[in-house]
This record gives sequence, C-alpha cells and structure tokens, in this order.
Amino acid sequence: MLPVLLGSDLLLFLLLGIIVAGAVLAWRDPSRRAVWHRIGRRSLAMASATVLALFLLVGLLDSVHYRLRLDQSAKGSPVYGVEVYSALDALLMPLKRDTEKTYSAPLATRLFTKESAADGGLRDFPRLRFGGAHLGENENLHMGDLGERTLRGLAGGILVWGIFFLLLGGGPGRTGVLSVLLVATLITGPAIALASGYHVFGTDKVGQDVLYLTLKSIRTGLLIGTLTTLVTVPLALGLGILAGYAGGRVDDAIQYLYTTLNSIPGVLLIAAAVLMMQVMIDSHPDWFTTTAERADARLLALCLILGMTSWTGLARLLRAETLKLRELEYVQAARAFGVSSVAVMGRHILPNLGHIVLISLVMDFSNLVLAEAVLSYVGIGVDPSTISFGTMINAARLELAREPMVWWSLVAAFSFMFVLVLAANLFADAIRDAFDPRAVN
Amino acid sequence: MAPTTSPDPILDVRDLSVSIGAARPVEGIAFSIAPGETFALVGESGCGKSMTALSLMRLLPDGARIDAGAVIFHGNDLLGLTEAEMRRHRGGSVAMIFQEPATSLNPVLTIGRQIAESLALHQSLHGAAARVRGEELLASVGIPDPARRYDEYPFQMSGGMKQRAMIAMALAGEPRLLIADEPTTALDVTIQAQVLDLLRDLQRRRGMAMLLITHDLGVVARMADRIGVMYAGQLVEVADRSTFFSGPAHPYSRKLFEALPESRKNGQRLSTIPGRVPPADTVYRGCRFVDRCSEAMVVCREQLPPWRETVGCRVRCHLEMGAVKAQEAAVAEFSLPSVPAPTVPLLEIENLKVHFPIRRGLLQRVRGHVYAVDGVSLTLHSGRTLALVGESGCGKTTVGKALLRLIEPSAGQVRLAGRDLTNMNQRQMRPLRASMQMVFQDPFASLNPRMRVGAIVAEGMAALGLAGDRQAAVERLLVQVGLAPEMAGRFPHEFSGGQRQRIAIARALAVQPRLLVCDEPTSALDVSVQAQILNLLQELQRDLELAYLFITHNISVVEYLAQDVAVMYLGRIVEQGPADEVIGNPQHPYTQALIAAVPRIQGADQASTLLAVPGDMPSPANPPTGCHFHPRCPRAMAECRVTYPEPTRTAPGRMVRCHLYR
Repeated sequence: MLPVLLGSDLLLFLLLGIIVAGAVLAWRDPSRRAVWHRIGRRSLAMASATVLALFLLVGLLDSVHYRLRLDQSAKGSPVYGVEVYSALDALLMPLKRDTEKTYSAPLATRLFTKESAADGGLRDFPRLRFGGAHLGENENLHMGDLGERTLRGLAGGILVWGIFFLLLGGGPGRTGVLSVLLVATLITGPAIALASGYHVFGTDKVGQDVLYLTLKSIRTGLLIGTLTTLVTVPLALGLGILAGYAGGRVDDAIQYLYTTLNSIPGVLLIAAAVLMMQVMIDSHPDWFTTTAERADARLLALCLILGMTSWTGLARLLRAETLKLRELEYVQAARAFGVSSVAVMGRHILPNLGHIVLISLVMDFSNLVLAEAVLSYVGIGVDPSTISFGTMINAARLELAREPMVWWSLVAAFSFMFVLVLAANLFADAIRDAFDPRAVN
Repeated sequence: MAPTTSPDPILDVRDLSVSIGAARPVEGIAFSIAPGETFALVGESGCGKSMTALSLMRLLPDGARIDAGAVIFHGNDLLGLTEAEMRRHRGGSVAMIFQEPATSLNPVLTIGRQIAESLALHQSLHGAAARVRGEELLASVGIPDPARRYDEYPFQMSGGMKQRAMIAMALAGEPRLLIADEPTTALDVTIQAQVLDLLRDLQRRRGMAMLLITHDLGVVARMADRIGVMYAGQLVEVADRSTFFSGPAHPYSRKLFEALPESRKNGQRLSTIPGRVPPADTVYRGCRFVDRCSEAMVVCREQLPPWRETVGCRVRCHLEMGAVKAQEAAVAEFSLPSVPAPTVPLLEIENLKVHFPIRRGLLQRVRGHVYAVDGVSLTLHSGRTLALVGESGCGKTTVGKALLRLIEPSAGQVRLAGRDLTNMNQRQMRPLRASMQMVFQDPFASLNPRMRVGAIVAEGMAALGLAGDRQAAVERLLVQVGLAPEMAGRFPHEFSGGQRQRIAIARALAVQPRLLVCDEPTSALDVSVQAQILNLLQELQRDLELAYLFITHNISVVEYLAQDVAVMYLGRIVEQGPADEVIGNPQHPYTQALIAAVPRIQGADQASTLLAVPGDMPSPANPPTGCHFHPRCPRAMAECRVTYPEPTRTAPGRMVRCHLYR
C-alpha cells in the first residue's frame, strides 16, 4: 500500500491543524475559554457542531488516500495500481464495487428500465446484479427482508447511541449532541443494514450506488467551501480594511480593482481561467502520475479561481464598515495615542468586523457549493471523474426530464447539502452570538 | 388653579401602567392637561417619559403592553378605541414631534409630499388645495419662502428648518394636543430658542394643549405651565411652574436642580445623585427613590409614600412638606485655589487654519474649500480651563482634533510647552502625545466594545511604550476616576454612560497628560451624571494641575468650569476673555445672542420673550463677505458687509472682533 498525499488533502489537514492549534491556544486564555463554554452550553450550537463533525469525519476519511500494491509484482521494486483509494472507499468498498447496469430505484431488486432478455424472451425489468441478489428466487420476500433489516439496523443504532449516552452523560449542551447522535444513529443503523443487500438511494445512469456518490461528494463540497474561503477571506479582509482605513489613492486603487473584477461576468472570467488551466494540465501530463492527482489539481485550481473572483462582495462590505468604524471615537482615541495604523486596524477594526466576515462566509459556503454545480453544468467545474454534489445535480437535470422521473440522485444530493449548509449556518450564528461581548450570559 | 387636575381637561391620563415582559417602565401615571396648557414631564433617561408619550399614542414597541389605566382624550378613552379609530386621532387631533429631525423625515420625499400626506389623511385636502394649505403651514412655522421650500427634500434643509417642517406636519392635522418628545435636544441653543418660541407662539394662537417631554429644566422653565417629575416609571411630583421653581418638594426634584452647573456654584462641588435609575424590572416595596435619597427614612423602605397635597403642588414623599422645603441642600464646599497664570503658557495656538478641499469632477480638481477653522489663536496655561464655545458646525471640534493632529492643520502654529507641533511628522509627534489627550463626546462610541476595560485604559501606555507595571497603573487610574479596580476585566457595555465616560477619562489620564482636550464630554449624559463628571474633572485638575481645552455648547457648564472662554463662529474666534466677564457682559452680538438663547431657570416667572437670533449658521464652504455674522446680526452696519473686523482689546484680557467696538 502506498500512501498518497494529494494537494487538497495537504491543505485540508493544514487547515485542520491550524484550527486545532487555535483551539488549544484559545483554551489557555481563560476569557476565551469562557466563550467556548458558553457555546458548549447551547443545545442548538452543539447539535449543529455535531452534524458538522459527522460531515467532517466523512470528509477526513475520504482525504486519506493510498494506492494498492499489485499482487503480480511481488518481486523486485513494488508496483502500485493507478487507482487512488481513500479510507472511505475502503469502508464502502462493496458500494463502490457493486455497480449495476443502469438506473434502479432506492431499495429496488430490479432495474428501472425494461430490457429484452438475451434469450429473446419477454421485455421485462431485469433483476439487479447486487441489489437484493441474496433473495435469490424468493423475490416475494423483498418487503419482509427490508423490514427485518430496518428493525435490526434500528436496534443496532439504539445500541450505539446507548454507548454514546453512557459516555457523554447529561448536562447543558449535551442534549443537543445526544439528540443529533440519536437521529444520526437511527438513520445510519438501518442504512448500514440495508446497504449490505440493497442500494439505499438507488443507482445512477451507469449503475453507481447513489449513497456512495453522496458520501464522496461531501469531501468535494467541504473542500470547495473551505479552501475557497481561505483565498477569499485574506484578500477581502486585507483589501477591504486597507481601502476603508487608508482612503485616498489606496482606496481608489482597490476600488478600481474590484469594480473591474466585478464588471466582468463572473462565469466568463471563471470559464476563461478554468480553460487556461485545463490547457496547462493537458499539456503537462508528466506532472501527474494518476488521474486522481490531475482531478485534484483541477479542484484546487477551481477553488483558487472561485476565491479570486468572489472576494469583491465581502471586500466592499468590509470597506464600507471600516469607513464607518474609522470615524468612531475609539479609533480616534487610539490615533491620539499614536497607535500605529496596523495596530489600529488589527485591534480596533478587525474584531468589530468579525460578525460580518463570519456571516458572509457561511452564506458564501452554500453559494460556492451551488456555484460548483453551475460550473459543472457549463463544463468548467470539477473534473468529470471527481464526484461532487455539482455533478450529481447536473446529472439530475436530465433525470428529472425522464418519464417516469428519476428523482433519487437529486433528493440525496439535496438532503445532504441541506443538512450541511443548515448546520454550518446555525453553528456560525451560535459562534457570532457567543463572541459578542454584549450577549447576556 | 388646582395644580393636579385641570378644570376641563382635554387629556386625562388615569393610572396608566405599561409592561414589557417583567419590566414595568410606566406604572400608575396620572395627570391631566387643559386646553392651551403645557404640561412638562421631566426626569433622567430611563424614567419612562418617552414610554408614557408613546402609550398615549398607542405606538408602543413590540412586546410592550398597556396593563391598566385610561387615557381620556376629549371624553373618549383612547385605549378603548379600535386601531382604525385610533389612526384618525394619531396625527390628527393628537400629533407628535420627535427628538431627531434628521431621522423623523423621510429623506426621499419632498417636504411638501410629507405634509400633503397628513393633509390628505386628516383634512381630506388633495391637489392644489393641499399645496395651498401646506405652504400656509410652512409659513406659519416661520419657514421663509414656503413656495420654494415646499418642493425641497429634507437634506436641503438645516436641522432647525427640519424641526420646523416636522412641526408643520404635526400641525397639518389641526391637533388639539401636541406631544413633543425632547423637541429641541438635538438642536443648537440659538435654534432651540427659535423653535421654543415658535412652539409657544403656535400654542397661544391655536389654544393647543402640549405635553412636553424634556430633561432640560431650562426648557421647562421657559415653556411649562405645570410640571410632572417622573422617576423610575412613576410620577413623584406634580406642581405649578411657580411653585416648582421656587422650591421643588420631592428630594429627587431638588437633586435635579442642585446638579445643574451654574456660575454661582463656581468652585463648589456640584451636588450629585449617587447611583442610577434602577432597571425597569425592579420590584419595589417602598419609595422608588429610596436608594439614592439623602433623606431616606425607615418608612421609605417599607411603604409606598402617599400623595401629599399643598397649594400648587402634589408630591409623593414621606417627608413632611414643610420639612422638605426648610431643609437647605448641604453642598460640600471646597473652593478651587484660583490658579495664577504662569508666565509661560502650556499651549499656544497661533492663526491655526484647517481647510478641507472640495473636489469635484472627473479629475477631482479642487474647486473650493470648507473653511472649518480659519485663523484661530488661543493660549492656555497649566491648571486652567479654556472653554471653546459655539454652535455645531462652527469648527470647535476641528480645532481640538487639529491640536492632536488627528486632522492635519493647513496653516498656523501649535506650540505645546514651547515646542512647535505643526512641523513635526507623526514619529516626532509620538513622545508629545503623552502630554495631551482627548476625551470624546459620546461615551458609547469612544470605547471599543470588543476590548476589556483594562486593555482600553492600558492602550495608551502600551502605544507610547511607558514603562512600569501596567496592571497596577490601570487599577490606580480606575480608582482615581471613581471606579473599582476589579472593573478592569469587564466589557464597556456593562457600564452606564457616566461610568463609560470615567473610563474614557482614565484612558486619557493613563499617559499622564498635561493638557486634556474635552470634546463635549457631558453632552450625552443626564444632568445628575454630568454633575459627577464635572466634579471629577475639577478634582483631577486640582490634583494633577491639568489644563483643559473644554469644547462645549453648554453655557452653564462653561460658567461652572472655565476660567477663560473663547466664542467661535464659522471658524473664527469672535470674542475671548475671562469666563465670568464674557458671560456676564457679552460684547459681540453673537455672544449676546448665544447667552440670551440659553433657557434659564432664574427669572422663569417673568416668562420673558428673549430675542432669538434669526436664521441658521451659513455654510463654512461659502462664508458671507465681511463679518461672517452680519446676515444674522441685529446691529449690522454697512461696514460689516465689507470687511471682517480686526480684533479689538476692550479690557485687559478681553478681545472682541466686531465693528461696534472700533
């Protein structure tokens, strides 16, 4: 087995490291710790944090990549397969491997479309190769089997939840965590039990399991959401505050920059950049050893481009707010002490912009996930081999036009995105409230 | 006339109570107003004055409820009306004007449209008829050229003009009762005088009843027929004007008077009211004022005091009437040592100018200047206070900021202890920043809400690299300004306005300045809190030999605090001299008008009509030729229109720039 570290993995783990380090530092400062305690006591905050943590867990599992060692090359220098797997793939191997021929409805035992049998028999819905295959000839046991597996799954889920309950115990904020975990285990238990014999969310056009696709999309969504903001926030904060505080020619220059950027249609700009990058990637095949690396490079470049084009809105907002804050008397008082401009911006302006940054970040997060879908539609989004909510939604366009409609891809992608974005929103809200010194304890 | 009930009241409020959740901002208010009468509600902020007014109009904020009581207006109980019926009264027979004219007019509609709206609703006047009536109304509130003003937008008008327009809108419904909630608080004294005169005149002509809400006893003395003093949601005293001003009965009312800074108290400590108004959700057993009252007795804590009645006065206090009035306020007296002027002044300002360029067009060419400060010269000695007085927009704050180089001066010299500041760059300036500091007007905007008090106070020490134990210094400073050392760990929002201003003073003192520029430090505070801050400033000046450049528009504060005064008009000093002489015997017509416009308590009974200066201050971008004041000056001569008068020394230490004294 050869571990593979993709560029996006590196950035994701780096980001996680920074967050953990920041949390440790914050924990040492008693006043900050009090703030986190305040968050810890809120059920809603903790519930949304738990949801985010579950998503993050999936995303992180999906970010540990490796290549399998090929068996036939046991002697001499080892040879590795070209396909890159992740820890999540390993866990979900049956789902990844067991592909059907084409569409099948959730938990179905037969395909969604009629086919003529090979021996020239009647046109019928053929049995799935894997979904419900264990039933054999007794297809009439289908419903009973589903019920039994669901019950077993529920029982297992409650058992796991019971363990969590014993570990966590009661307390303020714990109710939120426990209720989310209860819902999660009650969903996951039956899902696991059913997934071993059926396709829980059905299959897509080429017979891939939709549940697997959805779980794989989480990483892409998280990456696009977070890495893009890594580009956006420093640009927006730096330029926005500088423009607002320095004023004059600096302000003119920065305003010129973002009005120019803004006046070019966003999709056009992104398309141009993506196509240029595409040419670059295509003309240097030697840069990448696997397709996964190439797809990853494209994902990273997309994040960079999205970040470079989407900082303007936030920067404009921050500039306006800085213009207001600059005239406030506490800034004047600091200037009367001869406090340097950098210190004034860092100590007096930046902390008072925090809420705006946080809110717009979370709103951007959902927008970015959606933007990825739009760009994938135009054909300039992520690499076609990358599984993402965008590609799923894009595929759903055609599926919804079919008769009868294929709805499960869209519903699966939609419900996961919905939960992710909602949890992020609620959590950001809770953090903003907790860091507001005016909030009542 | 009986003081508490009017014979045939147009408005009779009975036992009105309002609650917001557990809070009870108004509890058991009862008063009445006769036609043509002015009833003033007085009290500190947070006493429930505005809430009372809003509940009369049934315009309470969300969550607030009227629990009990009746508001009988013209024989109908307003509280029993349906919302549709109530809407006919609002803006019709009962009209209201608000404190801030800038925000109570819709900026995207013309004045005419806004008046016409009210006329259409309440008088069913439309089209040309509405316009005629609207112009009449504008003329009646003293707006010149009403035909042109009718089509103007609010931004084209000055603050005083907007308030007049607001009054015109209120009059459009032919109100029988006008509720005025702090109608002149946001205005300058000369404009305040104009608006108050207008209100009184309108009231007299229309026989309108008026409910005036204010915290300014001077305004009360000028306007009110009867006065109700509110404290913590209750009325504590209702009295005739003459009775009230000859001797207020309730200890709270007396404290309000004693806290006023007047020249006769120069050098004395102002009497203050300890503590603050209790929050509206406090549960009371006895008198609400007991914790702040200097004459509290055991019974005050146990029993709600009953109403006691004498001639012209009704008071809610356990003290015997006679006893209350006989007791003379014990004012702790400590006279300031009159500081002899040292020979070397601490601060010398010579011909300071701050001009802001006006840039227009594509190339941003300079097309003119705003002459915010246009040649100001001042000197200030250690341990003394120089007050810089003038209306808003005259450039007095710009002078303060230019001293500290928060705004770059365009010309002139500023010497601090002999060293010229104007040619220094910011780096050279830095060590001198410890010698002069500024205290700002708004204590809510001058403290960073995200920083702890300790960090706020220590900021200057850190920025200027002062050595020593900063934490100990912060604690010492907090004690020095009358706060507890352990408050260093809290955030600003946990403090009241007065406490915040103390923190701001501690921050300025942290770097051991010799000069403090105080930019209206008390104008955002209640009068009792203002007294505390003024006392603190006096003590600090005595202990630390501080020099104050005190920027203010409040003449009575000047009388109390300052040794010298400079009066500023449109970027220039028009009169300068010792405070008592200038205020006692003003020479420049502008100074005279400014002082005459201040509503005073003394001589309130004469109800004197004071001469108000007409018009508004011109724009500093386009000052009038000759003497800047001549368009408003009652004694303007031909010469005034041509040349700006040179300084004339009328007495030792006195300077005036007026052609009358050549």
